[in-house]
Amino acid sequence: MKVNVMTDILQANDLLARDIRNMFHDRKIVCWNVMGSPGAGKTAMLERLVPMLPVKVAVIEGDLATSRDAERISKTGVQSAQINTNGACHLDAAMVRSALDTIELDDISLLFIENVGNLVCPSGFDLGEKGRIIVASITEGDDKPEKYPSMYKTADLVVVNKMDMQENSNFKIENFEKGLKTINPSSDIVPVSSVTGEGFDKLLGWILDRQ
Amino acid sequence: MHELSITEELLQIIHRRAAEEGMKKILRIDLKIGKYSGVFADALLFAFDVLSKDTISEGANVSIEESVGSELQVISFEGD
Repeated sequence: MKVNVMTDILQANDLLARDIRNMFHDRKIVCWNVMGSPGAGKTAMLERLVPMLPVKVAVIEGDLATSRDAERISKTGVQSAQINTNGACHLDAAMVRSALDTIELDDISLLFIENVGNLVCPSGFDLGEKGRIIVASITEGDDKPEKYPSMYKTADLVVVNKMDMQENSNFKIENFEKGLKTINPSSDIVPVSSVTGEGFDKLLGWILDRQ
Repeated sequence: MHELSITEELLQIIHRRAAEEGMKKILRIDLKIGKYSGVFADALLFAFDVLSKDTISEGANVSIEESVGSELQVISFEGD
């Protein structure tokens, strides 16, 4: 007996992500999926950005292990939840769904989900987000967008961090922009330094324009 | 990548449908895997051998059609 199935194998994640997206829409919560290499500065960017925001925020942190990032975010005074994947290299919708149960959603209108540091796997997993912010650092080199197209082509915004180290670096922002445009012509770019605060007014504006 | 968790999902989809149809043994499974899905047929077949042990899918012939996009689909399966 033959059974026709014609089903997308990863549909379970997509269906759950769709439910999460609908829930955010109903509750008027804007959610950004923050991705990037380990050490690019995702958490540092959120630590500086969160106190600048005039709206109520929460942050979900994703790591293989430790609650260090959620603790760092807690110090800024906002709700934070830590997901430990215990080995999984990306967050998925089921993990986010569980973490959302620990957050008082009535209180917030903006949510950042900081994904596991990884330029490959997270791009394939919809979390129900409104859009994606990739944090790149100049110390990674200016050739990464073309080398990691499946990640970079999904970005709405690329934050180029560690600009305070430009003087001692071969990184050329024009090369980075050119490479990004060939992969993703519609992504915005904001150069920043989480250490000095450079660029954060522009980053804040970008977020609030979409709030 | 992630062939192990993909194979788990695949088996769940098939076993659920098989139970609905009252099937006791799966003999053949047809999949479509896109070239740009990031999934490797060899790794998936290996994961299938491991995860299908002691299930109704053990020993099934898994046939994979490679397509040009990034899709990852169960097309059909056959059994009794």
